[in-house]
Amino acid sequence: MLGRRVSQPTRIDWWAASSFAFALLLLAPLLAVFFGIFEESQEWPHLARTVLPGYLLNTLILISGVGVLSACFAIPTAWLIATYEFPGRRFWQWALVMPLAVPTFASAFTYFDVLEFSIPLLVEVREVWGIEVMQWVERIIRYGTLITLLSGVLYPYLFILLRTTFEGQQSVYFEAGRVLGKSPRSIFRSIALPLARPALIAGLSLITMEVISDYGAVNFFGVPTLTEGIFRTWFGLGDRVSGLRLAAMVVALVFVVLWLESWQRKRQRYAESSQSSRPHRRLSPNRLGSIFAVVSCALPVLIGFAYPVSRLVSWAMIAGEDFDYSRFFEQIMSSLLLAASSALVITFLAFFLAFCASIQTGRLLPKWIQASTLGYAIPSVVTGVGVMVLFGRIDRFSHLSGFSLVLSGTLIAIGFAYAVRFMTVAYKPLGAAMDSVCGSLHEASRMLRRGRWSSLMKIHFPLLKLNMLACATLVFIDISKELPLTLVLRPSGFETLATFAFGFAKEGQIYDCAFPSLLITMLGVCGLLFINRWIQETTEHDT
Amino acid sequence: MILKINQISKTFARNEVAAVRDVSFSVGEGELLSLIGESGSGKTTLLRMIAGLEVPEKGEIHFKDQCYCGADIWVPPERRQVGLVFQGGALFPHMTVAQNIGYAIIGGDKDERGATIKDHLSLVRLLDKDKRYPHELSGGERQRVALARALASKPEVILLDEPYSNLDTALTYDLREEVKEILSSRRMTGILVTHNASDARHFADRIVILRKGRVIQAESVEAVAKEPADDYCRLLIHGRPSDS
Repeated sequence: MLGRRVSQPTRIDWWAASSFAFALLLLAPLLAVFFGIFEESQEWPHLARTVLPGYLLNTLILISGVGVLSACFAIPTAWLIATYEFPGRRFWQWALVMPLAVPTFASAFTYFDVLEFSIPLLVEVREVWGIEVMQWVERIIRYGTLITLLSGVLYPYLFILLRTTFEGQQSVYFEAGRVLGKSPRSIFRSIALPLARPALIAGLSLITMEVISDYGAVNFFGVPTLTEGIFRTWFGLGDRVSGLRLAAMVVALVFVVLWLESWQRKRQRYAESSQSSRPHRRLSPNRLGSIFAVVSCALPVLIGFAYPVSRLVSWAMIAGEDFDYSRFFEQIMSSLLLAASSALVITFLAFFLAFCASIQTGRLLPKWIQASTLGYAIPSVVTGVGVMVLFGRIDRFSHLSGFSLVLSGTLIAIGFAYAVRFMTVAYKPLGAAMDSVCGSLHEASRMLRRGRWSSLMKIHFPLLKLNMLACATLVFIDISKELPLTLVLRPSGFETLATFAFGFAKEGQIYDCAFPSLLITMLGVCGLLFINRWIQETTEHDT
Repeated sequence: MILKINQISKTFARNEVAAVRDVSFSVGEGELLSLIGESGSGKTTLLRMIAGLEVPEKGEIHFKDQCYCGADIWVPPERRQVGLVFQGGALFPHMTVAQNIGYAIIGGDKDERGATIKDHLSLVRLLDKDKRYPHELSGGERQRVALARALASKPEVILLDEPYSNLDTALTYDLREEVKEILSSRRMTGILVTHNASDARHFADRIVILRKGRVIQAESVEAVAKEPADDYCRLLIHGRPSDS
């Protein structure tokens, strides 16, 4: 007798389905930008002929200038901190990260004086060599100051990655170099630096993205880049399609750089897992070497942190009692609340996505989820524009269906845009921690007949809750500093610390901009100190 | 004597146990010597002190007429006439085989360097793999490149830190034949660190046995095999604690 066939209904994997949907939602604004570029635009040929080359040139000048100067700040300091034991090394190790807490626009306010100080020189140049030479000198001073201040604030991205890489490099390579008769300098040039290439490229890519994304500093210094161009085209000329095309160009530029690098790397490798290693032993430099080390570390901290912060403090003291604190605190509490709640939601969503990616046996969904966290590589103004287009379409559709406008110009739009932009800040570390800390614990949990929810809440969450707190702090700092995205999407009358500071500075109330700028910096410093301490404790605990 | 170790000691601050205690021995020119001992016996620490990668607390190391370390004297590794083949090879992963060997060559123009690289590649029979990266080689090939690289720096003494430990048995037999042949043909002085008695006997003219950082026995291969100093030496050399 034939056995009875039992047909089972196809089961939907809700974990995979929901993570797919979330990822699609995060990618939607970028897709909106992509599809928008194919629409008709009357203005585009004119823009492409007149202002576009200038935007492109300025962007490339800033990218190369800031890249080179940041490398000059970060490479020697990271190497010195990782390799030598010199006076105050532990202090400098922390101090060198601190410029990350200063928003680029706040630093730009404090360096703007340089342009005023240069006026007597420019007058002299005009009298001796004429107006054309004077214009060139003025441009060099303006671009040079902007490049210096941006490098002073952004180099820590590279410094942190390089320091970790140099400290983690297998000491056996260093020893092999010395036994082969090479000096520490030669080993640095031929072995340590080439082996640190992935970190170097990753750090420079982050800096490049930050430079492309910057709006406050370039706007204040009058250097129109592609991002500034998007603002001018979209909000000044009202040409949406040209704005989207500029945005697409920015994204293409970022991806071409990343692709070229990975193609050029080809077969090379940068670490051997089979190689056993011993802990790094730091070298003691002589007196002259120690002085050189201290000066090398002090210079970027002075440019990126000490000078801007001391200027802001002195301005805040001048502003003193005239400042309208009650209005300021009233508005700012709501913006801090938005930043904190967005940071929490983003972190939990990143945790959920990282968990879904880790439990998948297939390769497609993890790749899809990873692609959805690309928002950080996209300039924030592009994300803002993408969210506007997307929510505008949804609202138009709901309006046609008889509903009122519900999304555009609301805090939901701004919170969603933060999620698109900063998801990767939480997702990357949580994904890595999930692989290294949790390993195959999920499989062990399933073997004990526990479901995914139980595994998520009883194993992964308790193990990673401190990592989540650190990620939430990072996201919170980033949101507090975020300017262009908030400018594009904020509801009418809504202010954040960043928009407050920028608004004051644009109106020429330079002393009043100090207080919100200092508050952002202080929040950043506290967050960085907390994360630094946490990383240190985790590392010590692991070893 | 080319190398003389005199009353050398080293304690690591972390566990405060002496890794090497009052060790003395010497190595003649062109002699091949094996340092053998169980894990933690101090053999690798001793080798690293000879290379200059660890600084001894007391004692002296003399190379020919020069003092490498002693009271107020310490010559850094890059100024010692010593080459080291690391346990895993320590080949630089971002360089090809030829670049790894080329890195060890100091001075000379491009043609001379090219010729030296070719000589050393041919010495270890890897002429056709000069453009490969380390991860594209087998374990045995990596160790041969590591040997060629160490020789290319023209050392007078070559140190080998468990060079066969990551290889399977068949590869080990082939490679140790090759290493001995290369070093003997060049009349190189060599010190091999190993915990394998067969490797130690095959390589050396003389064996030094270490236990808990001290020298237990230092004699010719034949003498050690015939009359081990105690049960520990017998266990190491013959794989059994007593003759019974």
